[in-house]
Amino acid sequence: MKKKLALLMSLLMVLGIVFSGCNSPAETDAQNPEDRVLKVRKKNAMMSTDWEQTTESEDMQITFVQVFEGLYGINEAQGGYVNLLAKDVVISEDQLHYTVTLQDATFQNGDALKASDVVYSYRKAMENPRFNYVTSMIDSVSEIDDKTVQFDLKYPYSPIAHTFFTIKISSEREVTEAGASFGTAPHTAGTGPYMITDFDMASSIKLKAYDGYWRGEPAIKNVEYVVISEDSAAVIAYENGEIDYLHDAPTAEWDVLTAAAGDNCTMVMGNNIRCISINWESKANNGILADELVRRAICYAIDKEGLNLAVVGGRGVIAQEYMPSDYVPTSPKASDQGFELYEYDPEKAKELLLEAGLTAAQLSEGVDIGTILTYGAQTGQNAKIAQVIQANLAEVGLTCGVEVLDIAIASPRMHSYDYDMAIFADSGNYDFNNIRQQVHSESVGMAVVRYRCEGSPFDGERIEELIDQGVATSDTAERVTYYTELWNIVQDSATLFPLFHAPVGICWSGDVNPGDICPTYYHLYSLSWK
Amino acid sequence: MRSAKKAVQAVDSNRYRRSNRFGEIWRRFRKSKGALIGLILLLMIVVLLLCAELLIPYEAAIKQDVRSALAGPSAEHVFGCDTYGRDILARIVHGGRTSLSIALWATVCSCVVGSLLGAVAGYFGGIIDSVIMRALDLFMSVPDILFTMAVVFALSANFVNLLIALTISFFPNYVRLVRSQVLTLAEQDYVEAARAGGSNNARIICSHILPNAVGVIIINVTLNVARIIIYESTLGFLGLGMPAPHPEWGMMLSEAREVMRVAPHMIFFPAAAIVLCACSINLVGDGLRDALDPHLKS
Amino acid sequence: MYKYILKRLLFLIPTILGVTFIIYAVMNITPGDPGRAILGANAMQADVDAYNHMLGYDLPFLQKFVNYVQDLFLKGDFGISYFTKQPVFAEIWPRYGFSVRLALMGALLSAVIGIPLGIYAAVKQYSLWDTVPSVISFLIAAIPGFVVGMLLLYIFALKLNWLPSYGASSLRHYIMPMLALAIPPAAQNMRFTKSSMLESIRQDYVRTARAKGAPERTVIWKHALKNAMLPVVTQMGLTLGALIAGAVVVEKLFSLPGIGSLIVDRIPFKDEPVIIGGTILLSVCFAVIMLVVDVIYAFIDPRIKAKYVKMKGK
Repeated sequence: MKKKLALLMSLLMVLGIVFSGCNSPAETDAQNPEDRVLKVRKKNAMMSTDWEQTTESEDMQITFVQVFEGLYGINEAQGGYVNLLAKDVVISEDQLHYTVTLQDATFQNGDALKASDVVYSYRKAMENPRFNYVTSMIDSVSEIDDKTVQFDLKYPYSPIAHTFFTIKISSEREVTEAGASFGTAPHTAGTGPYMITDFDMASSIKLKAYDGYWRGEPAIKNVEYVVISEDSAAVIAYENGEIDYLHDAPTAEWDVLTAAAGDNCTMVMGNNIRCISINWESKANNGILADELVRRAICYAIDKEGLNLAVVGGRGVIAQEYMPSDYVPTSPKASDQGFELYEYDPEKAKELLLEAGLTAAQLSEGVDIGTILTYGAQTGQNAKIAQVIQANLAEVGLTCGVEVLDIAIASPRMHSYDYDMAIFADSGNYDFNNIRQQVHSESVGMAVVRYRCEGSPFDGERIEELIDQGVATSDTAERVTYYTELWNIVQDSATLFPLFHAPVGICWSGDVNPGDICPTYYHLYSLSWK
Repeated sequence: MRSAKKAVQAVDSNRYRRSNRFGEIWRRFRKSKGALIGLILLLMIVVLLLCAELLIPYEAAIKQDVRSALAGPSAEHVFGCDTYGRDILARIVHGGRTSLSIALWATVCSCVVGSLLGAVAGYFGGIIDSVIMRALDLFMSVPDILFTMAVVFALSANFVNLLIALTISFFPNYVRLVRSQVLTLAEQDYVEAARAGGSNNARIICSHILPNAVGVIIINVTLNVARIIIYESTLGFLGLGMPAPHPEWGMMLSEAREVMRVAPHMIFFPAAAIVLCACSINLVGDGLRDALDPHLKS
Repeated sequence: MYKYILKRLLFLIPTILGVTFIIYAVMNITPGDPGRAILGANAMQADVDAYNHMLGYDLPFLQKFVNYVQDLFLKGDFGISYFTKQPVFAEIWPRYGFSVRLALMGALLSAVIGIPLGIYAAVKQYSLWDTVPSVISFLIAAIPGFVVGMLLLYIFALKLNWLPSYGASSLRHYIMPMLALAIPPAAQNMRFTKSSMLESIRQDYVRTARAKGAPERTVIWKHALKNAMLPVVTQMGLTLGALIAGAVVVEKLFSLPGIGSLIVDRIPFKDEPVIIGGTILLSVCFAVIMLVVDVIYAFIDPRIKAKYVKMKGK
């Protein structure tokens, strides 16, 4: 017996030694800045190294900015687009032909960027249904000479800048050589400042600076993305100095982070907007949501301040516009009072409900209006929004359920109008024409509410007219007038209601200069060691 | 010689047990202090949960007050508030009803299904055993958590579906355990004696084998109720739980984990509720085991 | 015995078939489709349908099942992930190896901690050696695994800064996940061993051995323990099997590249090839563990061994 006990004790001791042996820090800091590795947190495993196949926004932060580049880039700090691989763009009188001169850039494999690569990349993207929404207006892309490409459009389309941003240019030679396996391994097919050298899907992605980058060699030479799925573990890893750059830091523990980060952190307004849509076609409770008064009552019942508090600790920015007008010059402005804002007013909501023919007795018992559908994690921001709205509605006598599904399941239901109410995020870009994907009858599979269809109570034709007028001119003031009228129609219909912009927290370690602070597409290129 | 003596003893104890079983069990159960404490705690929990509506209305568990979100314990909210400013005490009390009833029902379902299959397989042996065990192997070889997830995903999360998913994940344990008991017991002489005496199979299984396997079943039932309560919280961690705003301990923990360091009370109280509940159940289970199996106590 | 083992190994084939079938059946009633997940919210439904068709996702599930089984058995081909376009085997194999390693270490640790404590507690019932570990195991058995993991993370990574908080690049990275994985089953093992041991100590043959004057040590270690180990072995087998796939929570918490979390991550996307391939590997592994358990069982318990021999004789 004693022997066994001794064995046990010695085992415990061995364990103890193993533990104490682990006292030294993980890696001795490399002195040479050339060898230093910037560790960046990533939430989930990366799916693909091909920009066309990356679907998660986190993956796109790598492929869309660090590895590949488009003709345009997005300037999140000031809003708007900037020239990237396009040195110069000439637009024809009729706004149908865009002639693009290319930068003297090279791919990471050393090949020079040629017009043929651009043509190849665009043609490939145009065949990919995923990019229909940004390529459907392009009639053809052709090579004029080695450094010049011409885009011919089917109709004038002023928001083409977003297309130039979205479609990235990859090396024709490398992509064709790799064939179907492109994207499953490291490659050098981008023109961006970093190339992927190590792609272990499960745990880490390593990037190396491309020294021939056309805008000059990046300051930080080595970057490693480490997968830390749990938010609280990421916070601890940051506090411990195990990661150097934490983008989209967990807002729930922001106080903890700021305590650890001191000046090395900041919080900016996110580029995404959270909206609720109310489906007038819903069958819930004999189509109660078809009643405009009920829909308006729902909008009045939503306490956006409370939402902001409960969901992101009051750090978000309340939204009254579909896109922040500070950033998007073409956006209608709330301050112009051109559309209904539905300021929180539960009393008004109750009045509207009574006006809609519901009795006070029914309301005190609770009137069923169906289910709020949303996607993401069960404790994610969307789910929280849904829960707060559920409680807001209960206050005015409307009861509803909450259904949180995965995006792959929820989004087809939203896009086939098979829901009652839905919470979703729409990613901002810098042109108000983005609204087209929410309101145009051609946006099947993108819109969550139908405005122009049989039985629609709305002036869908006018909406589409305004969209067409909006893209047909480049005059900003003129476009704002069209869009204000459009947004007013949408707000009057009480079907698509903006809630807030979630905040994005960014933390970096003491020996890093954070460079440009961007809510979505941060640039590792702008970072440097102190 | 040894086996003959054993047989007599076993038959004796069997007969003796049946005569005044409950009085005897209770008498023995009472002796254990731990078991009594557990029982009292458990009774208190059960009474508390049953009378929940009288103490704190359900409304309080779902009523939000975002201005007091994450507030710590105070006179108004004894256990503090959660992310939405809902009263945690009310959520624990009402969530306990859900969590416990899911756990209880899932345990009962899986125990009944599993024990019967296990007893049949172990007793008959041969082809029946092979068929049941191989079918079970198939079932068991799909890992619990994946199975549960897939089922909940397919059917969506609500009370009945969680119950189905949990039963599917938990019944195979009983089959194997009961079977292994029966395999041992079926070889016992008193069973052979009963068989020789012309008892039919169903009677032998029900009156000789299952009662003697009860010890193991009881331990597992009690452990399982507690384990399912915990398993529910794991499901909550993975995002599968009762639909909002319905309170449930697992989801409460899951909601709390992202603010664990900012609002530790949010994780402490539900966790304490789970620990308290599981502990008292386990204590009672242990007491029951000792009481049911007289020869475990000298 | 060998024949029995061979038979059980052959049974792996229907197991694979069964598992594949079950998963296709469950996936068949699960909403969502990979085409939408890949093409994103902006794609037209017609394009999504076309994409699903290209993947072969829209076939009736029986046909998908038959095709899959044919590819698997005739060509040894696990297919290609809908999502990452990687061959499924290449994607799951390293993760599988990792999970098996982690689970083996976890199960071993849980046995090393739990079983001796359990035996000792039973032998010294009502002493401090019984009550203290019992109370601790009581408490641990009542704490959800991820809370244990988070506490470890909080203590060892944050407060003490001894261990790294994520990843699996060195042995030190394994310590916390291993502990998080081992502690709950260790408590369970302790309880189980204790009760099984108590039961066995009170058995007649142990009394007889004692009465015959065998020294207490021999009685405990030779007579009682051997019998007590019977249920414990099953328990251990189940623990190991459960840990391989059931480490999902620990994998998520410590960001480890395990197979469980891979499958769980792909369930919502309905990446069928990965889900099925991963589950097949897991179930084969599980079946093998169970076979080993049964063989060990037979060796420990001569009565059962005799039964197998009898069966063989028939």
